[in-house]
Amino acid sequence: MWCGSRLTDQSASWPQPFSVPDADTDCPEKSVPPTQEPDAAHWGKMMRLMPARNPLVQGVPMEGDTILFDLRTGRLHRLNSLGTAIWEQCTGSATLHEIHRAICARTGLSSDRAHDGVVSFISQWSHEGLLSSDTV
Amino acid sequence: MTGKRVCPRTLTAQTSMTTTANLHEHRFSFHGLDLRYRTSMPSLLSSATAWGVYSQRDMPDAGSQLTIHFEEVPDRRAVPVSLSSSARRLFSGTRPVLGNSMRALWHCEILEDGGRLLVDVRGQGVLMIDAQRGNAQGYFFRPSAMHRDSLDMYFRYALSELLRPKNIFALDSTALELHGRGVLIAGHSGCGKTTALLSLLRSGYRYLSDDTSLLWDRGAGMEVLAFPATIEVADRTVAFFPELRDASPSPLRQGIYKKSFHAEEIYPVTGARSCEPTMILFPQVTNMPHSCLEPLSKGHALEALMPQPSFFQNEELAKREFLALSRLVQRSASYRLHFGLDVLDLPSLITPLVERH
Repeated sequence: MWCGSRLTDQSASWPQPFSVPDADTDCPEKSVPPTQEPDAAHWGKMMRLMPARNPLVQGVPMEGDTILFDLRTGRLHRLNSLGTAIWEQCTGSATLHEIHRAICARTGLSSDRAHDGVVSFISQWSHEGLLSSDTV
Repeated sequence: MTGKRVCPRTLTAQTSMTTTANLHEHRFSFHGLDLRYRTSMPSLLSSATAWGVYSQRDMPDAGSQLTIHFEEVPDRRAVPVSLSSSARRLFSGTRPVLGNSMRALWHCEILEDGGRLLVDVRGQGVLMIDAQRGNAQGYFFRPSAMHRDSLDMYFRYALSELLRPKNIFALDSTALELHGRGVLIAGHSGCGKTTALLSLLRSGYRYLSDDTSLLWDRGAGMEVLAFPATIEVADRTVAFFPELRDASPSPLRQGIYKKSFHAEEIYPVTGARSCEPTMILFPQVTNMPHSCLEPLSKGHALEALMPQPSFFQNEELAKREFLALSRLVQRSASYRLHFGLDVLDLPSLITPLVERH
C-alpha cells in the first residue's frame, strides 16, 4: 500500500531505449545517435505526450513530498521531491519534453537524471492508473 | 472549545422520548445534530443510551436529521431489504470495521448498493445504512440474547457512517483533552492505546473517547468530538492501575472479550465534549524500562490513520475523508510512542509537549 521513493529503483524499472538521447526532443543537452533510429521514433512520439493527472487521484503536499490517494482503490502513494515536481507538471498541457525541461530548470538535476526520472515516474503512474488514460 | 459532559445516566433530561404503539422514539442532540432513535425492543433501547449523548451546542448543520431504526425480525428472510443487480461487495470476512473491539465480532459481509451500505452480520442481523439520506435500519434476529456491547457497537457503527456526509469521520483511536488541546492515541488492538489513555486520564486529562474517535472537519478548523463508550480493558492493563486493580467492589464489568467500566466512575475529572487536535500518538508496547517518543513523519502518520481501502464506498466521501485526515496530520505533531514499563509516568513525557503546542 505504501510506495516509497521511486527514484531508488527507476534505473532497474525502465528499459534502456529511454535512457538514450533523442533528436526529436530538442533538448539542449541531448542528441540522438543515428543508430537509434527505430527507438528514437518511438521516443519522439512519447515525448510529445501530454500527461494529465487522473481526477480520481487526490494529492496533498506533505513535508516536501506528495501523498497521492487513489479514490478508486483507497491506495496511497508517496512521491519524493522529484516525483512531486513531475506530478505538478502533469496538467495535460505540457509535453513530456516540456516537463523534462521544467524539471531540469527547477531541480538542477542533469538532463540525463531528470530525463530518467520523468520517464520512470510517468511510466509507473501510467501503469498504476494515476494518469488519465487518454493522455499517456 | 470544551463543554460539560452529560453523564449517560442523566440522559433523560437532555432527550425526549415518544411512544407510539410499540415503537419508542428517542430524540437526541448529538453535537448539534438532531438524532432520532426508533426501536420496538427494550433490549435494543440500551444500545442508544449506553453511551453519552451531548447537547447544548450550536447546531453545525441546523435542520439536518439522522434517524436510526433498530427492530427485531425472526430470521434473515424477514429482513425487508432487497439488493439490486448492481450491488457490489466491499468486504467479506472478520477484519475490524470500527474500533478494535469489533475485531472478533464482525464476521460480516459489506455491500454497496446504490449509495446504500448493507452490512450482513452473520447470525446476528443486517444493517442498512443510507448515509446520504441520513437514515439507518438494523434488523436483528434475537437481540435479547445478544450482549449489550454488540448492540452498542452496531449503533455506534451505524451512527459513524451517518456522520461521514457531515464531514465527521471515525478514527481508530482514543482521544483525550487537556486545556483545550486534544491528544489522539491511534493504533490497532494490543498496541497500548487504552493503557496510554488510562495513564493520561488519571493525571487530569479529560476523556473524549475510547477505541473510536470522531474528527469533525469544519474546513477552517478541526475538532475532535466526544464519542464516549465504556472503556474496555484487558487484564494486563488492569494490573498497571491500582484504582482498577484494587478497588472493592470492582468497578469492572465483564464484557464479551474484555472488562469494561465508565470513565466517570473512576476518574473524577469530567469528560470533555470537543477540542482541537494537537498531538497524535502511535503507541507500540516495548519491554524497555522507560517510554520514549520518536517523531513520526506526517506521511507515515497519514498512512497509519487511513481506513482500510476495501471500505471506501463513495469516491467523494473518500476524498473528503482523505483531505480531513491530511489536514489533521498537518496540524498535529505525530509521534511513535515506544511504550515502556513506566506506564504510570507517561504524563511526564506527554504533557510538556501538549502544553507547548
